[in-house]
Amino acid sequence: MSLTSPLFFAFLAAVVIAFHISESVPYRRFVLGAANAIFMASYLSDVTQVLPLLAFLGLGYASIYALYRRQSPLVLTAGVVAILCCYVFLKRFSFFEGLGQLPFPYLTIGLSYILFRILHMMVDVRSGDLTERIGPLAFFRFTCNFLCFVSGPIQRYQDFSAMDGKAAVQIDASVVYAAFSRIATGYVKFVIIAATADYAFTFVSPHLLQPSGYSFLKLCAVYATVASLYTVYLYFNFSGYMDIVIGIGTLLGQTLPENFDRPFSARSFLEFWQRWHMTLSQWFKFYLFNPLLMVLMTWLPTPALTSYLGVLAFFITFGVMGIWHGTTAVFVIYGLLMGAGASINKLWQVACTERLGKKRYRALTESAAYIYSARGLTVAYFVLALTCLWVPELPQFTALLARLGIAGVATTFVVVAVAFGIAALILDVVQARLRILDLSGIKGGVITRNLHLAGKMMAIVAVATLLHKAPDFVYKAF
Amino acid sequence: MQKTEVYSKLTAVFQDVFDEDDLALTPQTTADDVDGWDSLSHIRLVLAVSKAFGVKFSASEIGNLKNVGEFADLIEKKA
Amino acid sequence: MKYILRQSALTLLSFAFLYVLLAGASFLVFPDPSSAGPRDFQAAERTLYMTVPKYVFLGRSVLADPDRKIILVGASNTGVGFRQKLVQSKLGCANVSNLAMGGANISEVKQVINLVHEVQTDRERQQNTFVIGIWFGMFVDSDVHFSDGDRHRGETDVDIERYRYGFYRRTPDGPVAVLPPQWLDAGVMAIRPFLLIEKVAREARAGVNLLLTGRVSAQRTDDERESVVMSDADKQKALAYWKESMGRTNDISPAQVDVLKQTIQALLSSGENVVLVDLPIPAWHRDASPYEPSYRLALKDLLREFGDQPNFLSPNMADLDNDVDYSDEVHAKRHLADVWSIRLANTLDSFVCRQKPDNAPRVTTLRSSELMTNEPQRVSTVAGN
Repeated sequence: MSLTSPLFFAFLAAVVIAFHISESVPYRRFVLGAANAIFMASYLSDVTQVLPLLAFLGLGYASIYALYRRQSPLVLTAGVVAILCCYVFLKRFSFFEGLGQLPFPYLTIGLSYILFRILHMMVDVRSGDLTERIGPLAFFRFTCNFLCFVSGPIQRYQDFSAMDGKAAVQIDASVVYAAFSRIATGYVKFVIIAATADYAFTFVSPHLLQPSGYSFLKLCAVYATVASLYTVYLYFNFSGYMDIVIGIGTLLGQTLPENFDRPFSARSFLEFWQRWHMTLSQWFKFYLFNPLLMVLMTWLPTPALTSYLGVLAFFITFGVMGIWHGTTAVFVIYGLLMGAGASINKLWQVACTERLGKKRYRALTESAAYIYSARGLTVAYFVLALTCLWVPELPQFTALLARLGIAGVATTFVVVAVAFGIAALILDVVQARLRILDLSGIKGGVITRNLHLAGKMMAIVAVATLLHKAPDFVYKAF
Repeated sequence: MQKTEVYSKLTAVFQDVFDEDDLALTPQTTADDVDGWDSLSHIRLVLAVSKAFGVKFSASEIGNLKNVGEFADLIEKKA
Repeated sequence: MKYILRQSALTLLSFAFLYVLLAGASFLVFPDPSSAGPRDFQAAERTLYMTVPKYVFLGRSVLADPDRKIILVGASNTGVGFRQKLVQSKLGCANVSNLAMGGANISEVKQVINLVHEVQTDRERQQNTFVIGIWFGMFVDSDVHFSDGDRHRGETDVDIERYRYGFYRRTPDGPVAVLPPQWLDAGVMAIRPFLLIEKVAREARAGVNLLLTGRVSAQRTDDERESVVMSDADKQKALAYWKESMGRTNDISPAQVDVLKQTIQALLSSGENVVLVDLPIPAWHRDASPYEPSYRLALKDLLREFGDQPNFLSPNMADLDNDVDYSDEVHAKRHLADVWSIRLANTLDSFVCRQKPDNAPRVTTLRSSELMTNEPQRVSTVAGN
């Protein structure tokens, strides 16, 4: 079901109404479960297509059940290995083409996120964090929650269970308005901003990927434009999707975790990852980075080694995250680039602290010049590293790099960093001015705020009809 | 274990890990308040606390700690 | 629940309020578009519809009346070369409409004819004379021709208009009508607020263009086109462009030839008149292009098949191939367009206006639209023969 299809809105209205007909928890759980099943079924044209997914869920449930019986590391290891093998096989990673494949087409949407949910439950059951017995239906509602099915946010079972079918959110007029408004804002991001950026991207990017007689500077300018457009597209597409999903969640009594916290305001690469795709990065921090670092530090307890162990852990964590994003070699490069970014950032922090001392380093990071330079560098690094996502085939990727050369990449990096730093500075100044004006402004009455909402909807419909292709959700593919 | 006992022992561990002798802890102290308390030293801290108190922490406990108060409560519960 | 319903009602109400407001404004700015009469569809820019495909798709109901009609279809050189006002002024017996669409291939021409048929009754259809303007550049398969990133591969501009407001829905077998064609005008009424928003957006963009570049659009004006002289480099570039766009190395797409054959066949057998115009292009282009020979052959074949049917005509314009009369490798300059238009009007005058309805071939048990959508099917002979 596409998020912009009339079918989806009808489905949504039906689910919300059905959910609120009764306050009985078993009834509401039934409604949510049925909604998940219908949502998944909308992606199928044949029953066989869902069987691999069901098998995957079955394996996950069996592993969790086994861990309840015996909380041993051995059972956990066996379960994790089995789940990962199954996942790699179903996702058809290009590294493992020799494994063969199932002889029929099947559904893989949602698989990546179900993987995280299952692994998290297994680890938490084993460590005793999750003692509650999970029934098969609750397991289904959690792993296949239709709001989070396509692309997260990745919830924790403990949080999900606390509001499963119970009205965790107290609904009143302002909460409902906020939810409607958030959904509308999500669609504005998704249909207007992201789709327009995508439109521009599809027109400009061919000039970059095909040989052309561009001069060096023009080539860099085109690369900077294409890479920035893709970043705008990715962010507004994904965060718009999250706004929609979280807004709907409120109407269904759920508080879903946030996935973005103004990532482009980050003052360092490490901070960026605390603000970008937060539920994913948190998952990796909890279940890969921290345990890995703990093992490394137990082996090598010398405090002086801390940052080097950190670098190693960053590379491994981001490497795995890269491979999770896609099935070709370019995604490994993506992971390594992210790992390198985090490592450079960490080593810089350590070096500065050693050289300047904690207090002077902190004072430095508070100065405007440092802040906007750091913001520019952070965003530029991310924007260029994202190239891996829009040039996912290795031959094309290397061809692009060969055309740009080191000088081209470096120039583009500087251009994006400077442009973003200046833009951020101007925006902040303008915003500060506007805020002063806003204080004396008119307060949103019922009529104004609803007209505002309707205006957004009008704009969404108008822009949606201008586009020739309905916008699709980008992270669905990962 | 008494709360005061937890705090005095915890303060010693913090002072050792962050190499700062005049470090004082309150329940509201967060990573922002302590220079050098980042994702890397957090793990070193957890290891040191585990060793000092003889307790083990799970992945989600380690990840979810928001301030010293929560840390102390967790230790008190486990020790 | 109470709060959700209340908020839904408030939202809908506010939306309806804005909608009515905009709809009202659209009537103030652009009075009722559905008044009858011939239309210069090439003047779409000045209407609420803005583009030719949109105007043709949304405004075609003016073609549903019992009058005699001459309907020009083709690509941009038909649009530029035959000026509706001039042709109309020379023809008293029929209403002339120019439905040519920039960048159309033969498949899209067929779609335009289908769009006209959709709103007409069988009786009204008898009054049609379709003037089909062709040249070799239109014989490109849709999958090759319509493949930019902004559309689903192979979808023509007509398809895009069909889906745009949900009047049709996309299925694996092509577009399926959601809104019955006889409800077209009501549908257009319903989307007027959005047409207005788009119009305003376009005008705003034109304003920005004017401010930045000193002109409204990148398109050349008639006066500018009049003074163009193509250099050798321009010519080489044009040849290279067509080499790349045709998707084949040295001949036109046989599939497109078939589509044209079936289209003409179907029109003739449902009693409509067909005027097939082999549009001239500048001599240098004709002589240098590798596609010309196969196009000639295909055309000869078509004329052999339909040439002797009384409701078929193919006027000769091959003499109008002087290089300097063209503003590029395809399009006639305005002064030549006047010549084209008058010649076409004269041809039509003797073919359509002097033709007594009784002499006109009288057949049709099959609806031509059915024939045309069930492709490879062919109609063997026409009863009038």
